[in-house]
Amino acid sequence: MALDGLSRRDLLRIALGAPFMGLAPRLLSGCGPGRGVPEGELLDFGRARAHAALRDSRGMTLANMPADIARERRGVVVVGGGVAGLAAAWRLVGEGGLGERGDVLVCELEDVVGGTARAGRSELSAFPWGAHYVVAPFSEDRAMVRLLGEMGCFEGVDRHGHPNAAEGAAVRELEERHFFEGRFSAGLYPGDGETAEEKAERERFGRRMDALAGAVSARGRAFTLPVSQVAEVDGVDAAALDRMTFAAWLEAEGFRSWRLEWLCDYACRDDYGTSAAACSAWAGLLYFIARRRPEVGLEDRAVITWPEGNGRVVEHLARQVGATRIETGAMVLDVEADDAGARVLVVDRAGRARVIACDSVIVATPRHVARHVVRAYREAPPAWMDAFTTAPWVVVNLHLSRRPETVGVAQAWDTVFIGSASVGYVDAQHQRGRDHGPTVWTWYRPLFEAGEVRKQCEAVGREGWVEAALSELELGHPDIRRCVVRADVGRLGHGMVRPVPGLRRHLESARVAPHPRVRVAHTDLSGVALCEEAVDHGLRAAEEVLAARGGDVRSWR
Amino acid sequence: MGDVARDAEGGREVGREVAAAYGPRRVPLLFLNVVIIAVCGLVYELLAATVSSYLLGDSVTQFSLVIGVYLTSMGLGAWISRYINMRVARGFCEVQLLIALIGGTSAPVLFFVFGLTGKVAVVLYLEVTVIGALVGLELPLLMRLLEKDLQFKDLISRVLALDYVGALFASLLFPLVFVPMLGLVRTALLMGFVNAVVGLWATSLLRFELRPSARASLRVRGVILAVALAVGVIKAEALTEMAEERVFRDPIVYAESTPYQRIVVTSAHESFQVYLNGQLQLDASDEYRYHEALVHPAVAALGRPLRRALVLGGGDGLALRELFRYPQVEAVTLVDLDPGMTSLSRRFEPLAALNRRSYEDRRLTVVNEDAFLWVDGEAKDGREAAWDLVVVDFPDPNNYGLGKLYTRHFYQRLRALVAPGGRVVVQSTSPLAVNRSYWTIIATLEAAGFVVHPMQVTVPSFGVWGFGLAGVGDFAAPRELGAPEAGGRFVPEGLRFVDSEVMRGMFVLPRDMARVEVEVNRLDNQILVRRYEAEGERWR
Repeated sequence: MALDGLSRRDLLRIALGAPFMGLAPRLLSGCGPGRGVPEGELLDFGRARAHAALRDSRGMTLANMPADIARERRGVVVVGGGVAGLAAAWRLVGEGGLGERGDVLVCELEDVVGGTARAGRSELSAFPWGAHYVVAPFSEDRAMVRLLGEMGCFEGVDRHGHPNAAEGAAVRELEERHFFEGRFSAGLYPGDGETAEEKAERERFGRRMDALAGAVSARGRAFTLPVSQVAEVDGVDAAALDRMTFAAWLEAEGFRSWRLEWLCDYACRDDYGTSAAACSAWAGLLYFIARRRPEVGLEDRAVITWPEGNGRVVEHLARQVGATRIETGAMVLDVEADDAGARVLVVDRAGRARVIACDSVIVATPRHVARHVVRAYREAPPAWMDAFTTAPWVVVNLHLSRRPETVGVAQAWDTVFIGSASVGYVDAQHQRGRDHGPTVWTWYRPLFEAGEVRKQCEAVGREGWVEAALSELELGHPDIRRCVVRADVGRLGHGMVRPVPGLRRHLESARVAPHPRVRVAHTDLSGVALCEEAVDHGLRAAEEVLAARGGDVRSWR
Repeated sequence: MGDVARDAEGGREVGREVAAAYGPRRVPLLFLNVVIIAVCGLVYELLAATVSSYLLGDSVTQFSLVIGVYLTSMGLGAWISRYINMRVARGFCEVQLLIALIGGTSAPVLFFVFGLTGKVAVVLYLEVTVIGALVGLELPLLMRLLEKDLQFKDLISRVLALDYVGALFASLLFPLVFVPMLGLVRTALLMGFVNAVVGLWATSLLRFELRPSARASLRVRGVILAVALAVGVIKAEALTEMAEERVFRDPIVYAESTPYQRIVVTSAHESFQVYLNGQLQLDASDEYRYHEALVHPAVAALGRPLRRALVLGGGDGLALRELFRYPQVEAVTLVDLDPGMTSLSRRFEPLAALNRRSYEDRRLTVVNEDAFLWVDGEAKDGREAAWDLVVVDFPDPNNYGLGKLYTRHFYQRLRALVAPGGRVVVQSTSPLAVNRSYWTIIATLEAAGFVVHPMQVTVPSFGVWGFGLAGVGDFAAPRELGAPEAGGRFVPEGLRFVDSEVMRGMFVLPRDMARVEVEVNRLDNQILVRRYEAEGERWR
């Protein structure tokens, strides 16, 4: 019968005016605690166990294990349960089992699978801890078409044969908004107050991207996803683009508008965790071009997302693989192989070590993990190894009791703040269609700056990162502190591979298997961290294993 | 008695001194007080009557009751004045300050109590009684203060004449200046402020009749009160609703910001209007045209008996009123996002009367949830296609949060809930004013698998309005009014607008509303929101 607390308070404010508000009992206040940092937890993704393993298990290898160590037989062991590892297992399982030589086992260090695509869940909402969207693939990316098709993300194909994102799968409008000069506006480009000159430059940039998107040769495209389908095209010097930074390319092309510069820098930080000044021009252009096609009207492809982000993809893959083929909390310390077979040294959740003998191993970890795990890498580190560097990320999940106030455009999936070091936040409930009430906002901050950022990332505790997030969001949402009921922080010390200039030329060598029985798969082998790439490498490694076993393997790629 | 005589004697003595000190100025100034007091007094009365008719409904009864109680209380005050024998001047000043306090906060307190409890009658009549009594006390005391300076016949003629002149000012100022420019709350605060200033001024005019200590005490309290009320008047201006009063043509009688939207009720022309986020939702004077057209043709088009009805949006309860005209209705579920809206429709008397207390009907289930999520949930749960009639009555698609309720995705989910032969009627904006938006909604319904008959109707406060009458599988536009039942049709009584012939006309769209080819509205393009925005531009 009576109105709830908030509306009463509002009514008081309206009826009585500010001078009388002191009379209103504090009880009538509608939101949670207004001061101090809200409670929550700090997650350090894999760090504790991985670093402890490095420290404590030094010297613990397959070579010096006691003779009575537990032994087990498997067909294929996949090291790492992120998207690449799960995609590899999905492919192997999809082949109809591996026969009498044993099944697949995925070993994941953490307690949950997903890697940087994992999701969290609370009473309020499911929410992402990392990657949170995929772009609707073109028909040539058969792996993603298959995967997202299984997940029910498409409805029919367009007249070029490209799948159409289903209405409930494609991100709901409004997709993006930005905060600039005191208000929110639609889109990512800060267009308020744009001069004629800046406008002309923006349009020229669009035309330049369109031209590059149309750069096709008989063998394929200059820029596309997955990058394994990239082909040499006359007029696009990929090697030269890989040597220079994206910032230098923009400069050389005469793009000087701060607005455009901001957009490009944001794009690099958002997708790659690096600034435009540290990102290769090739990777920077890939961001803008891989999702454009002249024949589909040069419109950007639809973005597909879920409340829990790419955690949905992880969940689907894990279900297809089957729980019995996945072991979490399983730390792989050593991988070696010879002509007779491969062996994997695993320490399980309870701390018991065992050796798994198998036909093949797929090492689906990033390079900085593989170099410690794979014996061949340990003993003779390849020259390309040091070319791989990673960017740390901090993710703050803000659990809100209600939506904070906004000025300007309301309700978007992705919100960015112009001029900020963060890449903004996504609203977990947007895609569900819930525009009011509780939700979770996931705020992302790549530590793209030069120097000892990993130490910085660790030195700043949970409260520090929550404060960093809140003081930024407060600019556009003055009452946010009164809406936050919980704030969890995830620190991803090695969040993403950094596509720095010069990395691309090492990728081919890095993809080469260290041994015919030890295959490698991970998105970092593409030099960029993208779901499409992780899936592509997972399938490639799995199909390499299948091919080695002989028989007719029809590729899913 | 001896004391009184001495006091009176002393007073006269002082009076003569005062007259000498002030010369001829004191008396006219006190008469000016009479005018101001009269204005304030009558404004409080009008405020109370207005607030009561807004919040309690039935303006004739409320006005009459408030005036009656107020006048009686004035009489009571006048009668009480005889018991004030000493310190008449002080009494006068105290009464002034009390009126300033109680009268000045009267409207804010009434809205406060209404917001807190939803009930206001007891406090309202208590206030009317107290203010009436104090105002009634005021004049006799003033006359006694002036009796030293004037002859009785002069005194009585002038005081009463000025009192009635003040009443004239008040009755003109209140509707023409105060309410339109200040609103109810600030008018009350301003009158309180004026009363406090008069009280302060009186401590100066009557300074020889007041003891120094009393004078100091009165002045301190008077200043505090005047400042507090002045701050109230000024600060109130900064509040949102004051800005709104300038936006809305008519005086605001109720405003509330729920977590979902801003609800504003205004009152004008013997009617009231409900706005959500500044958009007119209904005008009580002609809403029957809208709601009869929304519900009865859809019932007439049913290919099955009317037992279970679903209302999405429509928190005002007016579609419910039309549905409950059919006794064969067994269950109605209303899904409206905002508990603030459904609660207002239930307890805000004018609205509750207008919807004929549909919220009290035992057949009704109210669900306060986003209809998008509710329908999604029902469809996912694999609920049976159980609804005979679905009335979709959302505000116009002027933001993405509303736009999602006009998408193919939403209509597809909704279709799964409709029983075979069931019908859906959808509020579809104006086919004349926002032609492309209207046809976008119709085309989107069709894309979701419905067969749709477009409809139009004229609602003076909206203009030409449109609906889409939809069903799964082919069906004809209805020709005869009434719910199908064994052996014929049940035609409800009491309809003011629709009959079979008028209904048939609704399905005829003139050329200027003719169909245009438009794209379908989807969750991931929400073209309708942009189109509506662009088309609506020229009507603003």
